[in-house]
Amino acid sequence: MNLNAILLNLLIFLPLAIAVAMLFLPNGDSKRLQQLAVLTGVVQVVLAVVLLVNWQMNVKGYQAEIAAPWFSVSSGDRMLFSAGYHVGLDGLSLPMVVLSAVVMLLAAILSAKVNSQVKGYFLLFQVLNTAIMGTFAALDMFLFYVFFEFMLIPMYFLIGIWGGPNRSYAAVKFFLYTLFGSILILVAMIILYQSTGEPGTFGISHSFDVEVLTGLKGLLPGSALDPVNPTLWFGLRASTWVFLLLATGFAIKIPAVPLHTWLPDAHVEASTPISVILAALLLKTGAYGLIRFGVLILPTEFQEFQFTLSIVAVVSIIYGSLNALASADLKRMIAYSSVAHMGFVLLGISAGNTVAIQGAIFQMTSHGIISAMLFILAGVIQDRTGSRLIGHYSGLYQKMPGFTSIVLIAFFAAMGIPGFSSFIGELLILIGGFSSTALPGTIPVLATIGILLSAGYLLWTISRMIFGTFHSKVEGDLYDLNKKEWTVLLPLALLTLVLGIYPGPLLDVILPFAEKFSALTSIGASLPLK
Amino acid sequence: MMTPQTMQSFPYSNLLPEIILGSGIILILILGLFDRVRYGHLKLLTSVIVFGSFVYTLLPNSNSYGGSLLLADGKNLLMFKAILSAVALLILPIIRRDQVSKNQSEFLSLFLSLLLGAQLAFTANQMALLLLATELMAISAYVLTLFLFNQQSAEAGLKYFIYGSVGTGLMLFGFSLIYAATGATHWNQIGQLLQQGNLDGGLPAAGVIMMTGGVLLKLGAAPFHLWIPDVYAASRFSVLAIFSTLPKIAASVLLLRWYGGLAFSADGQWMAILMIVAMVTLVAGNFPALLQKNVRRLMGYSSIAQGGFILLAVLISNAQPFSLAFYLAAMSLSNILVFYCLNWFARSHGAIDSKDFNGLGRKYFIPSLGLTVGLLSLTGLPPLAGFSAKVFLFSGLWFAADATGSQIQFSALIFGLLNTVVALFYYIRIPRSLFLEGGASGRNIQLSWSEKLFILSLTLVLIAFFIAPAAIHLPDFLN
Repeated sequence: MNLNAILLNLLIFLPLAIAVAMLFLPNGDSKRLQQLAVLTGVVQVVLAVVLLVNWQMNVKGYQAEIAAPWFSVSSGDRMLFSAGYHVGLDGLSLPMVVLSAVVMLLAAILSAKVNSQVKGYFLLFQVLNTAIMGTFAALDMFLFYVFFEFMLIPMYFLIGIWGGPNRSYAAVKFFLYTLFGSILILVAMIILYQSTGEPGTFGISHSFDVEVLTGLKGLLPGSALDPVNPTLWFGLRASTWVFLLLATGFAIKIPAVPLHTWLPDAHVEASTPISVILAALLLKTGAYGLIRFGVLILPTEFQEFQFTLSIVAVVSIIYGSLNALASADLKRMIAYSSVAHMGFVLLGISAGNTVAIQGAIFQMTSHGIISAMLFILAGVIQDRTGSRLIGHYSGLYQKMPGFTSIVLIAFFAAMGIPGFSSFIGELLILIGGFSSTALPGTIPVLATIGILLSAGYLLWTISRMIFGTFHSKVEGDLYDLNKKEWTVLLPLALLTLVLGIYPGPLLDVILPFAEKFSALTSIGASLPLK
Repeated sequence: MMTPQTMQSFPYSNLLPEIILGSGIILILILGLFDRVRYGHLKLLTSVIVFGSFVYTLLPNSNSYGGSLLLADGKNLLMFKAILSAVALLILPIIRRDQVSKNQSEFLSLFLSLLLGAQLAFTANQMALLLLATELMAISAYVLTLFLFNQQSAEAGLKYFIYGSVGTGLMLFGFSLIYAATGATHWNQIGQLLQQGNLDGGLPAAGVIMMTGGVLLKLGAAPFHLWIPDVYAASRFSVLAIFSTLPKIAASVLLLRWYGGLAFSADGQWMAILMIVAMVTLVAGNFPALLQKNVRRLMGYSSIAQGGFILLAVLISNAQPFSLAFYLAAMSLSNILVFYCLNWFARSHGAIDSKDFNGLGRKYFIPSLGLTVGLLSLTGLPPLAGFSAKVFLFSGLWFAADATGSQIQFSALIFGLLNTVVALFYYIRIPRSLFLEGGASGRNIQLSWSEKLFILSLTLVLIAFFIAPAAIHLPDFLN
């Protein structure tokens, strides 16, 4: 086991160890609990930076990898079930892991405002932290599924206990929607497991390992997924069903229209740090899962559905933007803008070529940063007065100049103005979309309507809330950003600027994975952008 | 094939688990006559008896009865026997003094006789002995229902008795039809005769249907499930912990032996019929459960739904009983944890409806944690044993569906998965009240350290079985 693998495992399991340690801390000492969470976050960011520094560019395959058997159960002499512990990073997961470390640290800092049941809050927070890291690092589908589903329980309580007035409803809705998605993924996972493997001494040894599953490398002849003499269910091939199950399951998490309705409720009710995690990281797990465990495992089936996926993506972009335009609540508007931005990620995936997937992963990273900023800003306003309604405010620039400057950065970044990271992401996705042989040109054209609409709702919000004469319909002292808010917002603002002006290194990290992706989806890859 | 052995060579020492239990029952009853014997002593003795029987099950070579009345075929049965005794051992902490009223020795001996009946039902190879074993189980259960000693529990006991008697009647009628068709009373001989297929088809088929009906009633499967909610609503939590585990384990192993090769082969239409029964059971448990406010009734319907999953596990266990064993172990442990915590809340706060739990999670973290973990494990979420159990079950179902190309098994797979989502609706209700709702007030009751220890260790066991599911093979390794 190399040093990087040790660091990666530390990154995943440190929060869990801290959570166990927290059990023995007194409940009343809320300050120390929060400090401990922040300290964990700092250590994780350091670990992530070390992984980043040690990263070897232009290496295909995984780094910081460790693979070991986890468990296997047998009945008589027949192997029933076995799973491995296999984690590692590549161009897809490294950006996500680094993003997660940063966002979790900022969320821990923001959690200082939690004032009831602080111990429970930070316990769940740390468990969630481990689950998110594990989801992005797992290279065994069973392990991935366990982490993926284990995010639900802490998230349910974090929304349900520390959320807004309608939190209970939102938490249950979130839980049920995402559990339903997980169940679909579970079926697909079981079918994939039983249909792949290699002959061993004890009959066929199946495996959940991503290497066996990717491109159905270990496909057993005669199994349900065998393209020769395929099994048909209701007129569709079994492999098509498996892809549909995976795509639907992950689309709930992304979320893609029409499976998105849990998202606005969850966002509006969740407290600021939880909203940040939800938008910046949890949505990414859906896109991540779709890429690694959907498209890469079943690339042939993916090709059949590229067009359908792109339609879903465009509908998400336009429908999400229109809803954002109509939202009176600032948080709801940002939540719908997330639907639209994740639609771009889906569009990048569906285009299926190197540039587009590079753009999609870049957009995932960029949206993680920008949506975190937007939700923190919405939280700032809510903290001051308790109201998030856009119509309650105007002329905020007079009272809150610092806030105004960050709002302008965040909103322009969300619009995709050149110089900000989302410009690069959306541009690459659109280039990839136009050059994709699988999609008609109208699809990216329609997607650009979404960019126009986003300019519409973001500029309109700025003009209503920020400019004009000062006016507030709600009580409360509208003071400018305090030190803590600056600490969390400035790094994010800098990150989106840096990635927008100098995207090269991140694109280089993504490139080997993007090439592997487009080689599997085997559609003529246009020149990769450096 | 086994040949009936003579009396001289019958290895009585291999019957020691049953002998320990049987003599324990008598001992407890006699000791109960003396006023000076306190409940703590009786319970300790019961624990020793159950533990003794458990240990003896684990000892090498204790499984080869080889007699004609009792037949233990293979190590899988040993695994089930070990699970049964271990579960019984874990139920004992719930049987607190307040659960047994004045009738201390009666409760404990009934508990032991139920366990004895379950153990004998596993290995019985002869019709009359099987009937005796299941009746020992059933009659103990009827009486245990009455231990709340009020009108409601008397009604529930009677209802259970009537339903149970119909089940017994069905089983007996089935036995007689099979005897009429084959002229044999030993299951292994019957199995041989039926598989040779030189018998008139109608008579044994009718017999099998009736007999299966009787066992389905013990399992609480549809359409014989109607007694469960009422019995659950009127019984003590310790009794519910018993009902939701021991008879289900016994009934499922019985079905496994009948359909898994001992008597009849599980193929074709029988499989299809029982799959449909399992699916109906899932619906009959899960959907009414959505409407329940009372936690006892809720757990009753949950137990019906679990019966449906068990039936599915039985049907795919022909060659691989592992998934059934794991499902039974995970479900029993989760149920015990849930009932232990529910019992604590009922005792300390009189919590009966889900709204009675509002806000208690903030004051009493450990029992609330235990309750939540138990319910989430019953739902089947990671990282808990219930999740692995469901994964093994669904994986086995898919394997069977893929191997046979059977539409019905595939439908059962989809059906079971969708029911898991439905189940979350009602399983999450109590955790939701505990943690998400506000408003607990009043007195503050502390848990004793032993209560905390029990809840936490059972929670850890549920996690441990998730991390290392092969641990359930431990009895095999010892042999």
